[in-house]
Amino acid sequence: MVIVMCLAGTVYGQETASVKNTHAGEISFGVRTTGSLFSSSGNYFGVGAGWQVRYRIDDKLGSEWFADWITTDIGGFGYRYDAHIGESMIIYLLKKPGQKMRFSPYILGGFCGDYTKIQTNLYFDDEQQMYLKQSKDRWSFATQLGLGTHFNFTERFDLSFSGQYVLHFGKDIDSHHATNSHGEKYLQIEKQGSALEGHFFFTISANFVIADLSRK
Amino acid sequence: MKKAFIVILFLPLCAIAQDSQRFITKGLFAGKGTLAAGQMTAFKATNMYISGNLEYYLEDNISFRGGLYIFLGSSGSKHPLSKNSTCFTGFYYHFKTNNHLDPYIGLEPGISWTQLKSPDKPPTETYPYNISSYPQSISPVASITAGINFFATKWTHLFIEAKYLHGVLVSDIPAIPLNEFRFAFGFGFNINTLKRRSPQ
Repeated sequence: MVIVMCLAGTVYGQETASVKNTHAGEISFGVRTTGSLFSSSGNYFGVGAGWQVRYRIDDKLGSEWFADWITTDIGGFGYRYDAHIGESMIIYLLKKPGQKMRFSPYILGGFCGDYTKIQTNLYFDDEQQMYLKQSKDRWSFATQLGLGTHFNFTERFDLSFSGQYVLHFGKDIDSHHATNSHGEKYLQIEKQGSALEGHFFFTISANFVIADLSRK
Repeated sequence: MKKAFIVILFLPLCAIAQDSQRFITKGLFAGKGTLAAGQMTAFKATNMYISGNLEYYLEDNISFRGGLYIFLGSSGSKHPLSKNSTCFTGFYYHFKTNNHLDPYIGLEPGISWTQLKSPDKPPTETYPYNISSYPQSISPVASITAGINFFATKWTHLFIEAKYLHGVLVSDIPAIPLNEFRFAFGFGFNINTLKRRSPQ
């Protein structure tokens, strides 16, 4: 990864956006830390990590291609795993976004493909009279919409913050609490029918322009 | 007394650096390898690691880094982990100075390869640690890092840094927080891969 970044940094020419006064054609690579909140599994905060690539179509419009993996502790009774691979379009709200040491607020929205798995912790099962765990998973599609902003440390490097609401379309996978004969609470997972399911999705990312495809 | 000692320790670094060639520029490629210590916030346990990273300066003040922390073990009777190695990638912002000191902050998401430690005396352990099957797992983590390099020569540097890591260990019992402060200092190598710009 470091070698690829080195090559990209070396190949990238001297003519930066500051010279030509436009960001059209720029490709950025970024790392992202993500958080997920308020899913159907409850109000639990999940932490994730991922990577992203941005392509800037023009000064007011960009696209962000991302992949990340999030794990959420469901109140000490189980875990939820979410993987997202998708794309968001970015519409900038300022006339001249991307200026050094300035914020560049934007609206973003798009779609993604998702994999979700819910797994219980070990629990005592009354029927089988032993400790066991269960898990169920599903694939789904989702749309997302939200707000964000870059903070441009330099012409080529920014730190970005965004919050989106993500709406999943797919099989319904749900969990709720039950109590066994020992009086211990445990998680029961059900997968049935289709359902809409939403959650909030927060991202902090650091991004660097590694190439410029346009002839400015 | 401690503060005075630290000031005296660092004064020569500043003095040496005032009037010599500056190495901290775009194109600098640096590598570090050292031992690191980690203090978990939820347990009275100190983790030990072999750590190393490679870093490339994309601009004079921006670098990209990839790094590894390989878990060696823990000290302290309450340590919960038998595996806790982490791989990070991220960007760093370097504050400009007029000498060879290079203070920096960074954002590095990563993934940890983790496993709960099976208890030494299982029957005496309390629920839920006595029922886990101790699976290995991969957990995403978030981290921020702050530190300082001292580029002593064209080829070598010294560094000291602290990292805060946030995440949870996923297993088959209630989540174990992986939150931890990690500290490292030591010695690294560096080489400038681009032709040095002429002074203006």
